[in-house]
This record gives sequence, C-alpha cells and structure tokens, in this order.
Amino acid sequence: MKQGINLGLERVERNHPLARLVWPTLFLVTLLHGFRALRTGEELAALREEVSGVEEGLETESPAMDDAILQRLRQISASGLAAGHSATAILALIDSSLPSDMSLVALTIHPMPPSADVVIDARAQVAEDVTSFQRNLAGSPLVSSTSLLEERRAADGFLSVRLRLELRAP
Amino acid sequence: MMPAIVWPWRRPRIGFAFSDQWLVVASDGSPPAFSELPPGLLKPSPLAPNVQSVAELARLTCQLVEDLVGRAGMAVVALPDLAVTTALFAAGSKLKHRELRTAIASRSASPELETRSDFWRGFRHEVLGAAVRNVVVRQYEQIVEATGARLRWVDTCSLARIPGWAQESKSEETMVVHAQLYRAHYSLAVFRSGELIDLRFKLRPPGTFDGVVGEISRLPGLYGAPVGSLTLSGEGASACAERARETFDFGRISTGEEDERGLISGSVRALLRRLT
Repeated sequence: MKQGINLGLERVERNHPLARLVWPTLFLVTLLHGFRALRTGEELAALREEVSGVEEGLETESPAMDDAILQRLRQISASGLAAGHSATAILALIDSSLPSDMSLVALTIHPMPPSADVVIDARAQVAEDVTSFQRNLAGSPLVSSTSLLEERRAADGFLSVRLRLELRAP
Repeated sequence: MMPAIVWPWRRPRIGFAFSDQWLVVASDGSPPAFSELPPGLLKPSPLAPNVQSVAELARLTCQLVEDLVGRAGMAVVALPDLAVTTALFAAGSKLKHRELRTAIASRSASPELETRSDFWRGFRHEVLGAAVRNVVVRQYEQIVEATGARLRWVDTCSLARIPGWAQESKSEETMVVHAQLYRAHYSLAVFRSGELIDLRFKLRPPGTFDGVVGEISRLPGLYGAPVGSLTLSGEGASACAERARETFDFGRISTGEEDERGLISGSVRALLRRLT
C-alpha cells in the first residue's frame, strides 16, 4: 500500500507515461501566454493613444464647465466600488472560487466605506464543496475574513449556505 | 556528526513545514527548529500564490537548515492544509484514476492542467485525494531547492498522519476521531475499523471550540455508531477536550501536542518516516 499522498513533481515524472510531454507542453503554454500578453499590450497601447487623442480634442468653454466635467468624472470613478474594489472584481473572485458542482443563488454587496461586506447565498451537493469555496475565498488578497452565517439541508437534498465576506481596502 | 566531506552520502534527511505563522524544520534525531514568520509573508490559498517573497522565506529556511544540520539531503515538505484541496471518495465509488483527477480538479475550482493531484487508497478501498495548483506548490519547491535539499515527498500537515491513523484504528470496532486544531482552522478525520469514513477541514475563529465540539457530537447520529476514541491535538487541545467531556459522552478522550508548532512538527516527523 502507498505510504500516503505525494504531490511532488518527482512522482509525476516517474509514474506518468506522458511525462516527457510535460516540459514541451509547459513551454508551449508559456509561449502562448506570452503571445496573448503581447497582443493585449498592443491593444492597450492602441486604446491609450485613442484616449489621449480624444482628451486632446476636448475643449471646454469655461472653467465652470471644466469643474462640472471633473465632478462628473469623479462621480463615475467612485460609483460601483465596494471597499475600493469594483463589482466586477468581486464577481471575478466569486467566479474563480466557486467549485464547479456548486451554484450561486444570490449575491449582495454592502458598501460601507472604507470597508465593505458581501453576502453570498449558494447551493451545494456536498459539504466539502462549501469548505473549498470558503477556503478559496479566504485565500484571496481582497478578503479580510469569511464567516459561514447559515448552513442547512433543503428538502431536495441540496445544502443551502450563506457566507459573509469582509473585503479589505486596497 | 561526521563531516560531510568524509561521509558525503550521510547527508541528513530533513523535513519542512509551513503555516501562515510558522516555519518548521525537522531532522532525524534532533529537535525541530522553528521560525516565526513576519505577518503577511505567507497566506495559504489553494488558488493564488501563497508566499509574498520567495527570496525572503528561502533565506529564513536556509538559515534554519544551517543552524540545525549544516546541509540538507533528501527532504519532505508538509504544505499548509489551506493551500491544498482535499476530497474523500467513499469505498463504493470505484472511480478510475482519470475520473478521480477530474473530480478533484473540479472541486478545486482550477483547471485540471494547472493542478497536481495524488490519491491514497485506504484499507476498505476508500480514496483520499489531494490537489494543489502548480503555481502554489512551485513556490514551496523553490524554497526547498534553495537549501540544496532533494525533494522527495510533498504532503500536507493534516493528511500526513492519516495512513498511520488508519493502520492504528484497524482493530477498533467503534468510531475513532482525530481532531487537529490549528490557530485558524481545524481538521477532523473519522475512522471505522480502519476505514477513513469522513474528513473535514473547517476555518475557525482563533481560540473557539464550539464548532469542532458541535461537529464531533453530531457524528454518532450521522454514522449510527458511538465515538469510541477521540484524540485532540494542537491549539487549546486540553480546553477543547474539557468542553467535549461536558457536552457529550465520547468514550476515550486523549490529547496530543498542545500548540500549532507541535502539531506541525508531528506531521513532519510522520513524513520523515516515509523516507526510511
């Protein structure tokens, strides 16, 4: 019988019949990532140029109008933020942390500057998925603490849970 | 010890363990060495890289190795529990290796190609699985490589002892429960006649026991058998045992190491035995 779990690379190289493909595959994946990063960089540079072109073309008629535009821009930049994190960043965190057998039911973001908290309602078949989900969230630099508010087995056999996250200001 | 220049093949076997608070280095025949990590240097996560500065942690690790044994030979590593995704597949599941890999990758919420996994089959054909993201485990491997050690075994703090406990509980008719209390989480491993029937990892606020005692007290109802033996070790094990006695009749209750450092050192010693 095996002595236990071994997550070392040596075991993978020795036991896996396709081990010789690991390094070429990693090389190709890295190359692909690099290529994609380059493409993204080029797109960003093009966008930046376009934005600076638009900025240069902007002409306002008076200092009062400048102030009004500035005020409006500040409002836009401050909207949709919770503890300094955009709602999309919070959604991306939950998306990447949610085990595939678990489903999201509801999400509530309470912005309370300078911090914020998020309440997540979700359903899972097994309790381990809930633990994985909570553990994945707790490991994120966005999150300062997690707590399981509620966990109950519904009539259909699924586990309904409610989790609360406290977000850390960046 | 003989100088390594005379006996180059006698390099000591060495074990490393990491938590968000402690770095532990242990070797055969000498007491373990500890280093308290600066806050924020290591934050265990199964998804994101855990170590804020690999160079700094490697420096601390090399220093401990230098103080403890001079130079390292073969090495084992116990990763933090919270850096690894675990799963227990019941004895009747009969999943093949490929299916197990897919199942545990889906549970870890990371792509299968970016995940390293391994499985241990128990005495009743139950399967314990663990998966870790390459970007996560690579950081720890770099730190161990910086000490000059040859890495032979990578496991986690809590899982390292499970095969040994399964062996010990083979002759027990009642349920045997091992609870490991870390500062901010705990693990529960439940055995019946040598079979690992339940494994749980839960986060806990430091210094609280209600969650773990409540969870253990529900086990007899869940599995239809009394808890014959309960072993608690780690942060506040004695206080937790006292609370358990007040709450429920658990049969035998024993306590092990009394803090997180002792708990982690015990796991490293269990891993070191695998090299013999």
